[in-house]
Amino acid sequence: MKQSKNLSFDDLKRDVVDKGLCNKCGSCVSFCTASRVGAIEMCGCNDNIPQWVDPDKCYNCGICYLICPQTQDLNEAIRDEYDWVSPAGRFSDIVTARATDKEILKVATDGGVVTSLLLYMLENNIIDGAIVSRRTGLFSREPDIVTTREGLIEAAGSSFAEAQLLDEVGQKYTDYVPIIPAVQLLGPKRTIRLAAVGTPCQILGIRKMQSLNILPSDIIHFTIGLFCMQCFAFDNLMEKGFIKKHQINPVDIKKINVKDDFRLELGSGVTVHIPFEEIEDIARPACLVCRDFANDFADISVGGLGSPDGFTTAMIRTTIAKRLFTDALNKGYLETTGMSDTEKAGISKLIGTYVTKKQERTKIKLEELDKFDYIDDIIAKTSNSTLENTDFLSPTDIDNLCSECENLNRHLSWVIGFVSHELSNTIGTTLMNISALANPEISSRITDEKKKKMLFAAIGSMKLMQDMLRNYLASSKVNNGQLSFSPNVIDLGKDIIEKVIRRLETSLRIKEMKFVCNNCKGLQVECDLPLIRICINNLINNAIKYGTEKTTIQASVKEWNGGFEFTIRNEGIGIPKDKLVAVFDEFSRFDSLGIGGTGLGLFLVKKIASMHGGEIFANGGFIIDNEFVTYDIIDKNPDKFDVDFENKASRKFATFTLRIPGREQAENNPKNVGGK
Amino acid sequence: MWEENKMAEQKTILLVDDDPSFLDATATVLESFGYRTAKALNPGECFEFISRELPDLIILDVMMARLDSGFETCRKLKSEAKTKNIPILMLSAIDKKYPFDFSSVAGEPDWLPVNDFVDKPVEAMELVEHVRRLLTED
Repeated sequence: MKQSKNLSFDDLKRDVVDKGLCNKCGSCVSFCTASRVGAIEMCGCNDNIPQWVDPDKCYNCGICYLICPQTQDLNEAIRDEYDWVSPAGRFSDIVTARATDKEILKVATDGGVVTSLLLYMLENNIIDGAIVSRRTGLFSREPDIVTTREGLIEAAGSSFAEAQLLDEVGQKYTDYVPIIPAVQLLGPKRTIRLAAVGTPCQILGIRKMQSLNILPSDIIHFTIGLFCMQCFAFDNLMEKGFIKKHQINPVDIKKINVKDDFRLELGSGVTVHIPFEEIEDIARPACLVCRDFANDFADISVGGLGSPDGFTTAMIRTTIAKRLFTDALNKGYLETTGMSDTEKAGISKLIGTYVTKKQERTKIKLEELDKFDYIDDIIAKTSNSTLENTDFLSPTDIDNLCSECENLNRHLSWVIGFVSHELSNTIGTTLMNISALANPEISSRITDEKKKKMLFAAIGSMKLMQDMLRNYLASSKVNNGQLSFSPNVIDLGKDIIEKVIRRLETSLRIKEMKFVCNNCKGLQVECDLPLIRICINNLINNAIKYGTEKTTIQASVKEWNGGFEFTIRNEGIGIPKDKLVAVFDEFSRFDSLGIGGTGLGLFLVKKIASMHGGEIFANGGFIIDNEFVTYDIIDKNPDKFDVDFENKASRKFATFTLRIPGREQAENNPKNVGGK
Repeated sequence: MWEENKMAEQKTILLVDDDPSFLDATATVLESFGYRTAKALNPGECFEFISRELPDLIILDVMMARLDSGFETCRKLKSEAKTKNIPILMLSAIDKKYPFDFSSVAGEPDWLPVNDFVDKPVEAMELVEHVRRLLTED
């Protein structure tokens, strides 16, 4: 198992989210929010995937990674804990049942077992509430916690009749509502007992959280798992080709169900049967790599498969499920058909064939994913079909577009605020200094030495502003793929480092700092001069800006991989150990002193390094007895270096290493991010 | 981190801004008029200084770590008995662009209890005039 301390949301993003494998269950965000970390959130955009909200708050605990249903690290432990057996997990009994309550039967997708079981638990004070999906709009549902019979029945099906549209029908089987975040609705109240109804990925997320004993899974006392071949986005179901192929009038759909195939019940009384294979194109990409059909780790698994119409198949798995189900039967909430062992074995076998089907599909899809980046293809196809191949935008499209616009607007406002703040600071300093020097009443009161400093400060601020504008423009080009890349052979020391130092001389003098560079002269390298100049400028500028006054910045150059390696180290505010990677993020800030900057300097260095097929990395640590000791060395020698990480008076340092390979090596390992 | 300049017996002005260069420039200008200055780079340092010494005037930037850091800081200063009488000069253009009601009372959302505003960027002499006026009134 990976060590959680080495994992962060960046890993989850790389391994799951960026590959299109996120099933949007919200487990990662729920834990991060419930634990009051607040580093990530569901983006609220069209995809509704998790995203960074404040990387600075991340403790790198790695729990978001471990509890994700799509990661594998905890799977073995969960299987052991639930004594899992092939093909569909352990269960003690399998029954065909239905509700006795006619009101529930009227709105149920199958036999109303889920609603009845929840009602029994509520009315008998076994749980305080149940997490359900509640209708919030014409095309939307959201998770909610209900505590009454009325709430349960409303969530089960009253919306069918109101809207007569797909997303309200058969919600539990066919559409996907992230239930886990609903626990946040409770706020600080932690003593409540809840039951959760969910798809296999949702239940697995809960089990992983419970196995780690982390919030908010502690209040989920019972889980009802739904059989699940895949979930759909409503938009995908409305895809034109799909509708045309199956001759469906969307407004005529009354009910969706999943049994041995995918069923759309129409208002005309006709039921359209569609083989599972034919609905893969409209499934959520993440579902195509899920192996669990029978919800193997729930307390009880339910679905229509194997039972006649109007009944639900229930696989009773845990002791508590057995006790509760039996009690619900005895108290008249449920009734069963009474099956022979042979009939039970038949249903079990049938479920097993669907488990195998799903697992085989997953195996094939994962192989395709490895070969062709399959998920990206599906995402592109489904998004294109929604927005381009249809004649009009559906209300969901419009909702999503509005939501995306709002997010973009919020981001734009934030960027404008950020840029305004930085420009206001640099102009403010320049104006204060120059206007003082230009005003005889003030300048006559200031010593020549101070006048000189004010002049240097004004020039320094203007240069900082010039750097900021250059970085903003370059960053904009990077994001638009317009940053041109034209490598030539240059003298790194003479053509770049010396010129940058001359330019930043004023800033060095203001802080009375020295710049020393070992082996900086004479190395010929092939690179894009203006771009590498931005890198070297930003790295040296950073070292000055975040460096301690009257100290020396140490730099060095050496040949690396046919190109060069430039290292720069300065004493100053340092870089927190957990920000060594995030420091390269766009608009990243980690300084506690509030020293200004573009928030783009290191982001650009990383992008430019990547364009050259190179890399940049950061390191840091403490200066102990005039020795620069990195975090790694401190960690490895806890007895030798007793460091108080919170002590503001500790001397810290930061090191950046930029590696740019020779062109030949880079071409063998292209990482270009900009256009040529 | 805050710095004191050794011009004792004059009125002390606490400068709160997240830009060290701006703090240096402003301090040089105000010190040339005989004021003693102290610098704070963020609200935390501001309150750290105040816990040990009460300045005669606080010049406070609105936008620091967060875009509304200055608002929060001045509300906190004006709601505490120890600091509520210290005049605050806020560096911002909000008097012209935002509908704050300066006569409102504590707790109301538009409560912004500063004594004076000045646009940032500001010319040195204009800042000096605002400072003089506030300290004379005081």
